[in-house]
Amino acid sequence: MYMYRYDEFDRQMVRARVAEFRSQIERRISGALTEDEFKPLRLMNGLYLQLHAYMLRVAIPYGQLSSRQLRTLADIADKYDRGYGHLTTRQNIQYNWPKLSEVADILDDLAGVEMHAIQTSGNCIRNVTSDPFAGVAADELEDPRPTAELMRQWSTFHPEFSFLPRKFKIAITGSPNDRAAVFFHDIGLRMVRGANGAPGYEVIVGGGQGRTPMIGKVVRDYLPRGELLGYLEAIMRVYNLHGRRDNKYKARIKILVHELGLEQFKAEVEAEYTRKPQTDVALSEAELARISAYFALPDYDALPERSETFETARASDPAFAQWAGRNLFTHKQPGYAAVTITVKRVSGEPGDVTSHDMRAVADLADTYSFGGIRVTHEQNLVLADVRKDDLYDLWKGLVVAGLADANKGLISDIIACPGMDYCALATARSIPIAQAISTRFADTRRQEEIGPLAIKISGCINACGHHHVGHIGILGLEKAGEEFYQITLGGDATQTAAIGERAGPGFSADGVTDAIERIVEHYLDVRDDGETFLETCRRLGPETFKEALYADH
Amino acid sequence: MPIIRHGSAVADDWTLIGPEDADAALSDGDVIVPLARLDDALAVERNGRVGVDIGNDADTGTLQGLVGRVDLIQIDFPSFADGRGFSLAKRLRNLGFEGVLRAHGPLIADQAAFAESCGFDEIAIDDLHAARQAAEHFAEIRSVFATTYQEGLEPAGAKRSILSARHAAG
Ligand code: SF4
Repeated sequence: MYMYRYDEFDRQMVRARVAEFRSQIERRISGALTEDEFKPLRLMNGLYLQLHAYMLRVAIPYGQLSSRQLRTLADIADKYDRGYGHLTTRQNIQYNWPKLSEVADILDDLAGVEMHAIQTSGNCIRNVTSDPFAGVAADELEDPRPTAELMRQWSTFHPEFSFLPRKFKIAITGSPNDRAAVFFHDIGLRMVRGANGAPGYEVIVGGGQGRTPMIGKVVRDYLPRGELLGYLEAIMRVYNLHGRRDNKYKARIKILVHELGLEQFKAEVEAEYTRKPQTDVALSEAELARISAYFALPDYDALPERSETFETARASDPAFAQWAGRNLFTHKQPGYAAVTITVKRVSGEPGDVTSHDMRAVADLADTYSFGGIRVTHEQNLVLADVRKDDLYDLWKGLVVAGLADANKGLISDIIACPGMDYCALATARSIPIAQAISTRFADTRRQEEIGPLAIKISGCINACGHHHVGHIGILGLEKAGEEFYQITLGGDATQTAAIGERAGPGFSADGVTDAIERIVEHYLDVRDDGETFLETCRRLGPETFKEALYADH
Repeated sequence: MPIIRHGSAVADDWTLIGPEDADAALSDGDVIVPLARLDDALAVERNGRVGVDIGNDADTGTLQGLVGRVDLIQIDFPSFADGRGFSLAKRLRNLGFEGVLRAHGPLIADQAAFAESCGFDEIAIDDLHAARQAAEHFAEIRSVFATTYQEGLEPAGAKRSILSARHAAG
């Protein structure tokens, strides 16, 4: 496996954390800790209290898993949960039904495969996310994973930044084509080259979704690589000192940046940065070099870019051809492809994976992809290093496992938050809406005809389902005991970042699928040749859909 | 008020002077005064040390002016979940403050190592809070985490961060 492996220090830190958590539970039981005191501690160990039960969120750093880890996740699902887990929009996995008394045992099982639930919740720096195609994407400038790992370590049990005004999310992309939504994180990083060709980062601050969606702003065009941790520290200190603590809805860094103004915020950060002793620049460089060695390229075969086996299979098997046309991604290594396994089955729950799915994917990863798996923020899985010669066999394996849906990026590849079915904060259901839409558009030919279309659904204004950046966003609200759904159009999470605009009055749970269909039909009517939904929406403006949407209302 | 220093309960040598206390109190022994009375306290003839309580929302612009003038700075934690004090402490250390840094408020044992890493020497908790959280709890959790990943934030007693241990010369 070509991923980071723990050394003795990393192991020691995770063991210390499990010991601390056991002590915290004991102190809670003895009354030494009050419930108020215990709550943030359990959150920082990934343990939420949900609507019906506890939920445990397990960290998958920047979405990278080994087949061994995935099998352990499957075992945990069977042993402690109801046989499945849920992939999250931050590349983590969560279990919805663990018993409190078994949580420490789960953490022990996780520690056995270098996993944990550290900082997957709470007002601290959360799991760093990245491009699911990191290290293999043909369009990549540089592999972001070593930096992501450096930040994982730096943010772990950070003495100064574990009691922030609010949660804090960092994402990094190594490609100019942003697949990590860096403009919608508290801090987003883009790997760039300086004037002299030296590697570094563009630093974006203050993006976010939630009830006040904002596109992040660039605070530094170019930050030399070795200075990253010091500069992050300066940003975090300014936030920790000046971020609002009087109102949790105004406590994210985006509000601070907004209230101070970008220039003032930048000035504060730069002043803080110059105050800080620059002791860790050389160390960061050395550590990055150490980490990078773990991400050395796998033992690729020297292959021609074109695979005759693949081309023959594609020509003879239309179902395979359809899947290949949709779920493959261009690899930087000739003769290889990266494969997305969507877990968005018709009428399924977006992102739910059964233990059976997990084991099947782990086996296929061992056979075809160097034993590595990635979780995407679109709640899918990726096998990143598959020989094109093997794609047909892999696909047949996926068909047997029931994981061969050819819908990546299509209308049924929906992101949805857990909503009212699990979440205590929800104002409406989101999963049943996703199920209804994927059922309505089940015909894959119709999906292909519609082309790329990202539907994202949140069950309340906290926007965990990323509806603000959905090409079509759906926000579930409640009025007088009735669920209703607000539709936004034209959102975009990539380098052409945009926040979706409200289409107009909301729809009932029964009416929302019809509304989506009217939007789609109108798009098909008015689109230019080869134009995607988002392009049409940009060209004509969201208003173009209003008449179609509300004409018969 | 119980003081916890490196995981052990110790006696408090300092007297806290409130905004309303008589001026006479300022001249006697080691005192911690509110920021607003610091100039007065430094001006009087006295036989002890002067510390200052800066709350946790002090204008960060005033911090530099304290360096070299006072022997102790007390930073308040209105709630254990309000982590602003950690950054105030770190900023003061970066500015060159070498006196005693005291965290004052309902901190919990699990924050002891964090507080030390950020530059605090001691934690002052109130009696009610101390009755629930014995100094042993502070000592126990403090010893669980012997080191940190972060350079420049090593807990007292740790020779170096994981970062520098990994890349020690040789
Ligand atoms: S968006 Fe709302 S309902 Fe959905 S998971 Fe987040 S908090 Fe829960």
